[in-house]
Order: sequence, then structure tokens, then C-alpha cells
Amino acid sequence: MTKESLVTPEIKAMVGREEVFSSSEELGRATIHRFAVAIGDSNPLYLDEEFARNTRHGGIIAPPTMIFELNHNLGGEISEEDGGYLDKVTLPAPLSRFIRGGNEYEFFQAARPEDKITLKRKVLQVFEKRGKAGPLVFVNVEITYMNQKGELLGINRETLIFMLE
Amino acid sequence: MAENDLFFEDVAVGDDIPSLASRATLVQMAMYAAATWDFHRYHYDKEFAQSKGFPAPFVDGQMFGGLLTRMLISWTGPNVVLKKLNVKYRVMVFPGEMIICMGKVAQKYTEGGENLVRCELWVENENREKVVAPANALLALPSKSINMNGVSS
Repeated sequence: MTKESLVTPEIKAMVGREEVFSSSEELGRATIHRFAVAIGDSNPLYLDEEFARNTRHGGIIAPPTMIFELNHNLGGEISEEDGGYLDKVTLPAPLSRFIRGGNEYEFFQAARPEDKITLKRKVLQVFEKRGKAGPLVFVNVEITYMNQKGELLGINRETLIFMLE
Repeated sequence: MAENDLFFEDVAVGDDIPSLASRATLVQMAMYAAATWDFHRYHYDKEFAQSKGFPAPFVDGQMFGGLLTRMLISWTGPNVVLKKLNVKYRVMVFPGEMIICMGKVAQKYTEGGENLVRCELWVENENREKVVAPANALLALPSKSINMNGVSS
């Protein structure tokens, strides 16, 4: 007996699609400071210019995983219903619930207060698996982060797991 | 070089990384949401989370990457370069839960002039369940000998 796949042609068509988002403003020290506070990190590498200048980094850098959250800071419109960004990777109903399966971060260069970030987001793969509580749809996304000089800062490969309502 | 630098020569396979305990609270989750501009209701709105079948708002998985990194760089000192971090999320974490980040040195080697240390990491909750596992980090540590940048420590 075959069952209809949850991965519809509409969902399959997401694979390979690439989107680019660019920030028109510098990250700034405040963004770095707030992120550090949010993870309880008082390391002077993120907060104290004089201290940071005397490290191999030569100045304040962002906590390494911060750039991978910058998908949001690019100012997209937000849905009042779920608080999510309208341009986020999402699947149509009935697959509207999702959780995060994993992240693979690769770091090439630290982000700095003066950086203006551009990111490229691409859906690599979509596939269905049967979980304990029902079918799941896995979406692998690759997001590449660059600064204003076109230098590669990092790559985030993440797995989102979508479930039925 | 900073006083608290951990050097490649100081590290042995099997060494424990000093753990980091942190309590997930709704306030802290809201701070992380605000700092990252991620306003998804999953992470602070109990009614919304329950309407989607979750018992309560839950911690944004990417926050664990932030906490694991905090643990690593507190251990190594600032003259480290984090090269890679992989994390898999196993169990959701809800407000009020204490979580403990842990890790140990799994491998050390020199490649392309860099002194690399691979660490196995995980995060446990109070019930000793692994909420994040497996996780791995690859770090480049400073060396006591003259390094490739020509900087003597």
C-alpha cells in the first residue's frame, strides 16, 4: 500500500532555490553586547576594545554563533500570528509546526562591529521520515554569511523538522 | 597573549572542559529572542506554544550553540579560533530547567600550520538527559612555540 507523500511538488520546488538578504547597516557594538548579555557571556573579547585589541583578533569580535542568528536582523516583515518572519523557510499547512533538528556551523572569519552582513540562503534537501508520533518532513538549509568586502564569515547548515498540526 | 590562555601543549586527549550551568528562564529566553530579533511566539508565548501542542515555550536551539561557545572560550581564553561547531538537539528545554554544558578533548593534531583540538560536547538537563548530543567543536589553539603568524608567545 502506498501512502501519499507529504512532500508535494510545491515543497519539492523549494530545493535549490536561493535567496539573498543584505543589511544596509553595520552590526555595531550594541548588537554584539546584547547577544553576549543574552547568553550570559561577559568575556571582554566582545565588550572591551582595549582588551580585544591585544588578542589575536585585534579588536572586538562578535560571539562566534551570533552571525547565524542574523537571518532575523535584516528587517523582514513579521507575522502577528506566530511572530515568525514572513520570509522564513516554512512549509504549507498541514505542516505548520516545526522544531530544530541540528546546526552545523563553519567559521571562516569573525564578524566585527563594522561589518555589514549579506547572507545567501538555499534549501539543499527535503525528505520525509516516519517518526514515533507520525510523519516528519526534514528540510536542510544552507546559509552563507559574508561581510561588505565579500569575505566569507561563516556557513550554517541547519535541519528543520516539520510536523503535522 | 592573555594571562589565561590555554595553549595547545597544555591540552591532552580526555581532558574535561570546565562545565557551564545555566538556568533557562522565560526572561532569559525573551532576552535571547530580543537580542537575535527572533520574535517567534514559540520562545515566550505559553498560550501559543500550547496551541501548537508543546507544553510550554521552549528554548531556541541555537542558544545552546551560544552557551557551548561561551563554555569553550571561557576555557581557552580569547586567543582561540573556533573553526567548526556541530550540534544535534534531542530534548526540548522549557522555562525553569537547569542545563549543564559539558565537554572533553577528543583529538589534537596539527594541520596546515594550525594546532587543532576537537572536543566532544553535550548539554544535559537536571534529569541527566542529553538535550544536545552529539556535538563537536574544532578549535585552533595558540602554541607555546612560534606560530605560523610569526607571533612569539
